[in-house]
Amino acid sequence: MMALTILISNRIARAAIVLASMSLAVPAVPAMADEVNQVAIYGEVAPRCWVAQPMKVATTNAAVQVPPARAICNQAQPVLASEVRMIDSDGALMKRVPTATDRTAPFSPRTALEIVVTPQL
Amino acid sequence: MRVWTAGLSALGLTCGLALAQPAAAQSQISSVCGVTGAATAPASITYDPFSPGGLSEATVPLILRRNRGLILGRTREVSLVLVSPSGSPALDVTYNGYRVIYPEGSTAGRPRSLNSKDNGAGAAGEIRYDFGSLLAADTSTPLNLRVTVPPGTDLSAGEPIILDLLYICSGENGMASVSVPTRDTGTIRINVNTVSALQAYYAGSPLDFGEIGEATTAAVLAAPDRYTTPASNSLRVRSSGPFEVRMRSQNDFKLTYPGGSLSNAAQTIRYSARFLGQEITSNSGFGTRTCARAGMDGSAGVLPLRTTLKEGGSAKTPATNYSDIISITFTPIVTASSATSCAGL
Repeated sequence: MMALTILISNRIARAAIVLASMSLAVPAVPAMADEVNQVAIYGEVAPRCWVAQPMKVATTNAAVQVPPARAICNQAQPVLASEVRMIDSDGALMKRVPTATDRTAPFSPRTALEIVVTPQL
Repeated sequence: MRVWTAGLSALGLTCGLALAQPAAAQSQISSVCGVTGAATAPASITYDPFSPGGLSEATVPLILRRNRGLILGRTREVSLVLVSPSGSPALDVTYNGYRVIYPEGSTAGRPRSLNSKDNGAGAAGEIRYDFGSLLAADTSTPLNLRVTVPPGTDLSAGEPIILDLLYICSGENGMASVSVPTRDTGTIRINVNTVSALQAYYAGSPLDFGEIGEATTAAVLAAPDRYTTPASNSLRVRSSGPFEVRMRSQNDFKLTYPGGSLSNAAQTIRYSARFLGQEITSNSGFGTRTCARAGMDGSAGVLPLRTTLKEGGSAKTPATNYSDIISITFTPIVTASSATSCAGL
């Protein structure tokens, strides 16, 4: 029992010496305050619209049903508007045809359907 | 109880011995004369390398310890100068109003003589001391050096400045004298209590992925280099000691816009950051890293920062101001057992 006590005692003494050495070896030199750097990261998703499944259809049979092309916008509230306009002699869109136009009346050969998609196509 | 008593006694004994002998613990046994020395600034004097004032003429006591022979031999007189090896930090040391530190190879024949030989005529620019006879103490009285350290000097926190000694000396009681200036490498240690200080800044271009609204996630993942910011962007660190680094993203490495919800996948764009050699995609993925001192010139403190998109913006809510902020915290520490060089990782 005595031998065991001495053994433990020596171990603790040795540990104490090591601790003392360590505490003296570490210089009492202060460290300065933290330095915080902030770096910003950026990205952009521009609002736009695009035509889904664009296709070029050439049909001679008026009876064939062609699925209409769809405009898709990545903005929450896109605006889609269509108007019928008369075409100028040089091809420019000129005169807006009122929507209340009598559909039974035939369009002039110089008319066009203008589709406006907002924000952009 | 006996166990505790023994342990505490040993602790007290060790502390007592260490405090009583601040210089070299024992005289060197030698057949020729010689000295060792240590100079430690009082704890109240500290050197902050980033302070514009530096350290101006701080009084640092130098204590010399003479060599002894096996029995009666003793170093009696010594005349010495300090030699700063090439590459040593620039500092100025004066004694009795004269500079006593010289660059390597520029000592101009110093030390020239001992006081017993020239009656002190050539003492200016040298440190001279007479230890006395056999029965006198082996340590000198404190010799007050005046140390000036310019701001920005590359001193290591917690480490002394090691200088060489160029000396002549006389021995007595059978100890041989040294009459030709003799160099002793690393014999003088001057500790000016350099604090562990740090400066850091971001250097580079804005980390901007630009317009990514047309990029799908598949396209982004297929061409990571195209959606990675340049490697030339980096954090630049200057430090006198080791330091810890922590990184935290405000949005947990997701870009979002003001008012956007981090829990809504359509309103966030994930990205990763590569820093200190690690790819980080969440705040829990980095922890704390410990880096070795960067030095005051920052040559070992260039820490590249790259960010890489992990999602495209094609399915995301449009906004011109997706952003996130990464905070990188540098904490100077005094000692680090596991510090690694972080430069260029």
